Amino acid sequence: MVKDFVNGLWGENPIFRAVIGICSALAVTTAGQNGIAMGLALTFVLTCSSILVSILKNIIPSKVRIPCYIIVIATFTTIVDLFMKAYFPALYQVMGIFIPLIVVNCIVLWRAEGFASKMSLIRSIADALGMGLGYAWAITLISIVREILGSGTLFGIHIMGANFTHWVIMLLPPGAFLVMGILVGIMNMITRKPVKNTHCH
Amino acid sequence: MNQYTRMIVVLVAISLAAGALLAFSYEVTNPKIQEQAQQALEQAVMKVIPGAEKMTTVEKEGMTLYIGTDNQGNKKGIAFKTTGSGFSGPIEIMVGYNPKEGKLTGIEILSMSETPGLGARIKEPAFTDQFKGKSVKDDFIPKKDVKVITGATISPAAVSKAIKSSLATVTKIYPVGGDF
Amino acid sequence: MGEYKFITTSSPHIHSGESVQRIMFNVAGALMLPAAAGIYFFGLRALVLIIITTLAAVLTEAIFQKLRGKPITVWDGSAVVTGILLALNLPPGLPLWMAVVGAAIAISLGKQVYGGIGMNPFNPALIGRVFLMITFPVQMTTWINPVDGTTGATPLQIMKMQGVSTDYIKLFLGNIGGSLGETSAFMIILGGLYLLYKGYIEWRIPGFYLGTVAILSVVLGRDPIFELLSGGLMLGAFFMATDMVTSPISRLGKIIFGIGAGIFTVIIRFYGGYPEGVSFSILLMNAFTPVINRYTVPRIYGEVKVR
Repeated sequence: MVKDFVNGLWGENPIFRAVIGICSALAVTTAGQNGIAMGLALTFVLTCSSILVSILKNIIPSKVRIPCYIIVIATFTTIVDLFMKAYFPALYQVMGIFIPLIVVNCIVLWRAEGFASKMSLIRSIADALGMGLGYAWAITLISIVREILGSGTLFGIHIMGANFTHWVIMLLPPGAFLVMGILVGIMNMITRKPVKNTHCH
Repeated sequence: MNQYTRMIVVLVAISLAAGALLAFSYEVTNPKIQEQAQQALEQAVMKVIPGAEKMTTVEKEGMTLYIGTDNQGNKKGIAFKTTGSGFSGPIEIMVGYNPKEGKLTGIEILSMSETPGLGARIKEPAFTDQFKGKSVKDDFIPKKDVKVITGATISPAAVSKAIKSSLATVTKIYPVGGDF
Repeated sequence: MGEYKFITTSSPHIHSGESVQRIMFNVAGALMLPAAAGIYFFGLRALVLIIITTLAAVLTEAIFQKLRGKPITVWDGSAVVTGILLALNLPPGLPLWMAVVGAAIAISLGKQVYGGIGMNPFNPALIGRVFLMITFPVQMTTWINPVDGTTGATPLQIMKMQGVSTDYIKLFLGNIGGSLGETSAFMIILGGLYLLYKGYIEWRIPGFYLGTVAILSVVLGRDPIFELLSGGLMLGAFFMATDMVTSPISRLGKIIFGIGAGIFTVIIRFYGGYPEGVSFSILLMNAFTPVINRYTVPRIYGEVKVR
């Protein structure tokens, strides 16, 4: 159970390891709070969907399982969408279409089909929370880097001084790819042993 | 139960449950969402009409106009929405206008998707404040009577053009110097 | 290590005694001509910018290779060339730390992540320039006028915004606002001719590149001489489009590359949002290079067309 939880946080981290569901990760990560909000929204949808899928796994006929999963996921996504619109309008304006897009986020369907539909309820919850929070910390890290360099702020607070030159590229799509690529590289450097002298002729 | 019936039953049951859950959340959140939208609109109107505390909505010649009044009921100005086509999508602008003086009272960028650091700077007061007190009879041509932003030419031009073209309609409804 | 050899024609081959190191230091020497013009017009500041950018490029290469546990090959001179080329593409008044960022990006993301020299699909110096262009658009378009030291527009910007041309002589000699190394067409051509004489570059890419721009300018009703002499076209055509690693190796391929880059340059200059399109057009053609190589393989000697 603990292993299932940690797996999503690090070992099979959806962003840095599986490189899955990166559409939203690249699009909304221009400011730290966007990363946190998107991460929590996805964690909520993922956990609720995994619970239901795991409970219903023996009732749902295998031939219609994908439509069933999609209905479940879509329902929870719409709930998040409505509540965000009602209670966090400022955040909703920034995140806009990316909240409804959680429906087609491959992480959710990946865990529903690949894990929750085969495992016990407890393990499914642990896995969903691990994956969701793994996604959340990964995109929050990307957001923080992009926010500091792109806007000179951290969670909206100016930290780089008044004369700081904004790195415009960090707020644009290429910046998202660059930051993510560099972070994946750093993660690999930490976890992998360096390969020595493998030049080929 | 035969397998096809079972499929249908399960799908229908899940859809019904999902529908019910959604209907419930919609009922809970909808009044709040409406309220938020109204509040955002009012805030924008108050911002572009200094001194306004209340607003009334009027529909004239296909335009929705918001008339701002202060606490004593004195009319302070008219606000309206207009849309310009920017560098990467529409720019929604709220414009405040005072017919009596024939001047703009302020503008506010409601939504836009311009390039951060360049076109997006039309949102900054440095750019929007120059429209405060600007005569509606001005040309609204960038670099001539509208200050532009270094590195961005299209976004300020789009804002200026949108304001100028919508003013043509609004000044017909509420001519300069007239009452409102 | 560090002794790579590039063979770009069909066999049989005779070794010419060239090495990467010799080529690179010859190219760097040729680049000194436009660099000298830049220093002459923009003063000591330009010299400092060139030195800092080059040092940053070399250091980045060394650090990156050290971190990856690869042999350090900074002595092959390719990082030096990239550094100088990048500096020549920068506005002389650019803050030095931005130039350092550009050089680090050019070497790390433009070259080393692909596996180092010979492996990069895009010209590293141009990657650095385009990164800076997108990241610091304001600073990258603040040009110093060499005559009075004030900031002003480049001839191309003046053309785009106000439709006013600039004197040919000024354009040719380089007494104009613009990037450090693109001001003097005369010095660039001189450097280019030296490389042509040494056989490091082929006339086909610059020839067809410049020719395409000139012809399209005439067709579209612009002044071809102005278009040829202004902006980074000369520098790009002689020193960046001709990069051995990122341009096609066959003769027909080089012709296609030159024409394609010319078309892109003209489209961006005349119809795009930016006043100058040389770096973008060369990068775009870099992306096409593998395809061009694939479809322009020369016939093997002695091969006969099957009837």
